[in-house]
Formats: sequence, C-alpha cells, structure tokens
Amino acid sequence: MTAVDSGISRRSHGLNHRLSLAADRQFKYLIIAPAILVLLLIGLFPLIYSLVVSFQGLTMTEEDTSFAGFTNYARLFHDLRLWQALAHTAIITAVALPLELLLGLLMAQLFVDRMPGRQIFVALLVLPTVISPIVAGANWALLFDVRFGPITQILSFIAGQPVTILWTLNPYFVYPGILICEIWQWTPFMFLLLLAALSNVDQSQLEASEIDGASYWRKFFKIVLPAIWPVMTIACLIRALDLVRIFDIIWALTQGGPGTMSETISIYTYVQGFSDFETSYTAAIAFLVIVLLTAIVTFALKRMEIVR
Amino acid sequence: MDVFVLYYRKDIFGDPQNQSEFKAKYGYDLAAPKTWKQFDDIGNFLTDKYKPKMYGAGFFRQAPYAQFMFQERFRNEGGKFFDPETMKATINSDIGVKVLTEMRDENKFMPPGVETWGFVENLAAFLSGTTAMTISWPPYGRWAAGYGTDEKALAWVPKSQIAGKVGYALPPGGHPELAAGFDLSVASTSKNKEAAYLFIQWLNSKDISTQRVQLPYTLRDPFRVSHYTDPVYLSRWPDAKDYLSTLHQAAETGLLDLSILQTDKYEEALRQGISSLWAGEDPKAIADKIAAQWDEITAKVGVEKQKAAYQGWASKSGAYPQL
Repeated sequence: MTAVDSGISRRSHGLNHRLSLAADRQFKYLIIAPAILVLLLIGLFPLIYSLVVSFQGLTMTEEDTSFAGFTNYARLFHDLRLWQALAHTAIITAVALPLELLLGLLMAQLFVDRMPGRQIFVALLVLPTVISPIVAGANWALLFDVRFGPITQILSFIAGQPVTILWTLNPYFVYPGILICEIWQWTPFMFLLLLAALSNVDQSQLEASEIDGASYWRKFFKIVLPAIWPVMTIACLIRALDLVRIFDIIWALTQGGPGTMSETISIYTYVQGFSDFETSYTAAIAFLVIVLLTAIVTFALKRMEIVR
Repeated sequence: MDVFVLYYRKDIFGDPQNQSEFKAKYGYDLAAPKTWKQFDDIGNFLTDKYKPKMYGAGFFRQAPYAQFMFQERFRNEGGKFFDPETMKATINSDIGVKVLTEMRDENKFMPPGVETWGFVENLAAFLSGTTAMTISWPPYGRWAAGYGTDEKALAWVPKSQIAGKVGYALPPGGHPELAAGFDLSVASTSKNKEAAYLFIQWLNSKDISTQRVQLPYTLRDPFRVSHYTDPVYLSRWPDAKDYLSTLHQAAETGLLDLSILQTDKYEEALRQGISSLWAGEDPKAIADKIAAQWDEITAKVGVEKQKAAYQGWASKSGAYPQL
C-alpha cells in the first residue's frame, strides 16, 4: 500500500468513524424521543396552555377566550383569601419542617448503631410514609373522633373526666391536629435519609476526636453535621416543597376549615378551580405559586452551595 | 322526594312519666315539636333526664348538611335571602343571627362532638338509640324500621336498635327543605336522545317507579302521589303508613333549595360560616361576613342578571313559606 493509499484509507476510516458516530447519535435520539415527547406533552404543553388560559376570562359561565390582559394577575394582589392561604401554608411549613428534621435526626441517632432487631424497628418506623396521605388524614380523623376515637378516650382517662376536644373545629386544636398527622407521616422520611447519611460519617474521624477528648456536641457540630449537611439540606428542600403542596391530610381532616382557617394554597387553588370553576384565575394562582417556589428553590440551592 | 323529616322516639315521647314531667315543667304536652322553641324545650328535657345514655336530639352538623338546615329554618322563621329590588343580601337580618345563635346553643343538649357529625355519624347515633330526635332525609325512616338493611349493598348501615319505636313528623316550622335531590336528564350530546328520553319515561312510569322506590339499595324516595298510597309499600313495615303520609305532607309543604346563578358559591359562603359558628365565632359577625360574601358574588355575577334569576325562583310557590 502506498502513502497515498494509506492516506485515503485513513481518511475513509475517519469518515466511516464520523458517520458511525452520527448514526449512533441519531439512534440515541430516536430511542429517547418517545420519552421526551411524553414529557413535553404532559409537562410543557399544560404549562404553556395554563399560561395562555391565565390571560383569558374563562369561568364556569363565561367561555371568553379573548385576551384579558393582566386582569387575573392584578386580582391576585387584591385577593385577601389567597394571601391568607399562603400564610397558612408558610405557618405549617415553618413549624412542621424543623420538627420533622429534629425528630428524624434524633430517631436516626438512636438507630445508627447496631442493635438487635434494628432492621425490624426501622421497617416499622418507616410504615407511615408508605401509606397515602389521604388515608393518613382519614385515619387521624377517626383517631381524633370525639365519641369513638382513642385519643379522646385516653385523654379522658388521664384527666379522670370526659374530655371533649374538637380537633378539626376548635381553633386552638386545628393546627396541632394537622401538624400531628403531618409530622407522624413524614418524620420517617427524614429519619430514613438521615440514617443513611449518619451511617456514612467517617468513623475514623470520630474515633480520632474521641481520643483527643472531644465532647459529644463538639463531635456532632464539627464532624457529624458537616458530613450529613448535603443530605440534610436536600431532605429539607424536598420536605419543604411537599409541605408547600400539602393538601390530602388537611382535606381529610378539616377541608380547609373551620371557615378558611386551615386553607392552604393548594386547597384554595383547588376550590377556585374545581368548586368555583374560576379557570383563568386558577391558572394565574398556579403561576404565582410557580414563580414563588422557583425563586425560593433557586435561592435555597445557591445558599446550600449545591449549585454554583 | 328528597325532603327533611323529623324522626323521633315515639316510645320515649309516649312514656307516661315523661309526659307528666314535661307537662308539669313546660305547660304543654310532650309531642313532636311544631316550633323550634318546643324542639329546644324537649331536647333539653330529655337530655337532662337521660344523658349520657341518650340525648334529646342529634343532627348532622357538618357544614355541607347544616347549611341546608339553616336555609330551611331561616325561611320558616320569616327570613328572606335577598332584598328583591336591590339584591342586597338580607341573610344577616335579626332572623339570620337568631337562627345561627339557636343552632349553636342547641349543640349543648346534643351529644359531645355533634359539630363533627356527618350523615353516617348522625344515623348511627339515632339507630343505636343515643338520640331521641333527629332530622334527615327519607332513608333514615326506612332504615330505622329495619327495612332493607339486610341487603349486601346496605351492609354499611348500622343495624337499627329502635325498629318499631320511631315516629315521623314535619320538622319544626312545618316547611321542610327539599335539600338537594335527584333528577334524570338527557345529555345534549347524546347520540340516542329519543331512546334515552323514553328510558327515563319508563323508569318514572307509575308501575316501574313504584317498584324502584321500594328497592332498598336504590336510595329512591317516593315521589309520585301514587307512591304514598301504594298498598304494597304501606305493608312494608307496621309504621309505613305514617312514614308515607309524613313524606307526602313534607313533599307538599316543602321548600325549594335556593336556585339562582352560581348558587354553590353562595352555599359555600354559608358552609364556611357554619363551620366558623362551630369554631366559636360570634353569630352576628358570621352573618355579616356571609352577607358581604353574598353581595360580592352577586356583584361578580351581575346584579340585574342575578335579580332576574332570583325573582324567577322567588316567585315559585315553594321558595318561601306562606307564614
């Protein structure tokens, strides 16, 4: 073979290689195309369609699809009930999240060391997380029942006289009732993630610090916490987003009542959309929530140094 | 016809000792109450005597049900929902505040936790003999008599402990709320409109409907005049005659549910108000808030549009009782 021949051969080999790469890429795109299409259909299309609807005047009785300007968005700022719903959501999140984190961390600390029956205990503790939130709410509604619920009976036994607490109506007990159910169901989620994180803390560092005479709290804040920080912050972010979306538990317990006292943004949006059929306004509310959440999540991720 | 009926324990009411004690205390005979004042007297009397084994009365106090009871009682007391000329809500009149206040006060002689009772909780309490009076739709009367509750589809209905002991009467005020109901209609997009219509006609024909309303699991209440006098139905249980007679009377004196444009939004305001009432808020403040919400809804719908709808509804004979 001459130099020219081998040059031609190398060029044709390179060409074949590039063609082969192109064919590979095309094949890869072809393979993932159906999944992308489905994601676009069920994700992006409704998002854009909702945005369009939010600029219209669609209600139960008006099929007005003409451009209504920013009427619905302007209405958001005058809707006191909307901002009250956001406040209710913020209160639930601000109380439930730290409690779930603290309890989950305490539980994880208890179970991080080997002990007899640990796997069984962990499996039992995680059970509340696997049931549907609406079922959890319905069960707690029964537990709180004044006539037949065990909680009332236990409290009456302790008090030595009949106790009547309307957990779903008494303004002093509505939020505690919701929070008890919510924390009961989702603390195990925190527990599981933090248990995994604690299990991966460098033991040699802990042993070295023990030899150096470090106290428990010093070890915790200087070694354990930094080690579990990434997992903890992600867990908190996930739970915070879930808490902002909270619906099922509250719907099963109070349906946002009494009045609108426990109405969260999800419940208010549902009421506007599927009870009052204020379709365009509901879309505007949804976008307000998207904007707020995006801002919060972006800020949180930057603060957590997870994204640069 | 879906209509509220007062169910009461005729054995308790008919007890000679109860009768003499009640008459001595209140000065009139113990009988099914015709006014809400009488209802309160009887409720207090029976609760004082029998609790905790039994209470004078129990209702489904959950807001979606209680708002129907409010609508009925408000109108029986002489209340009007709106000013027909201005369409301003008048639900916060003295009558509205009075009704809300009395509803709240009546909970005191009802079982603890009655504010959380729905349809089933109230049913269970009455059928177990925990309450001496209740108001509800017609199925309570059949199930209290034990009719049809052996059917598998009705396995969820608690077994009646009071069969043969239940009396039937119009609720206090004498004009019960029709309180929702059922209807059959043909979809405008149906490909078989005529067949659908003829099927409905067949379902509601005299012979077929008479059978339907006696099927335990259909929840179909008597609605034709002939149903109330059907010999087979009359023989279903010993007190069926009184039951059907009361249903007939209730159907003739019943009050139409408020039916205007976007009625559900007005009722939602009522529901929220009632749940706030159980939470301890002031009845006057609640009534004012409901009225303000109603005015807001009317403004959104359009005052003139809503006025036309309201006047159309109010002109019907069952809209407001002739007091």
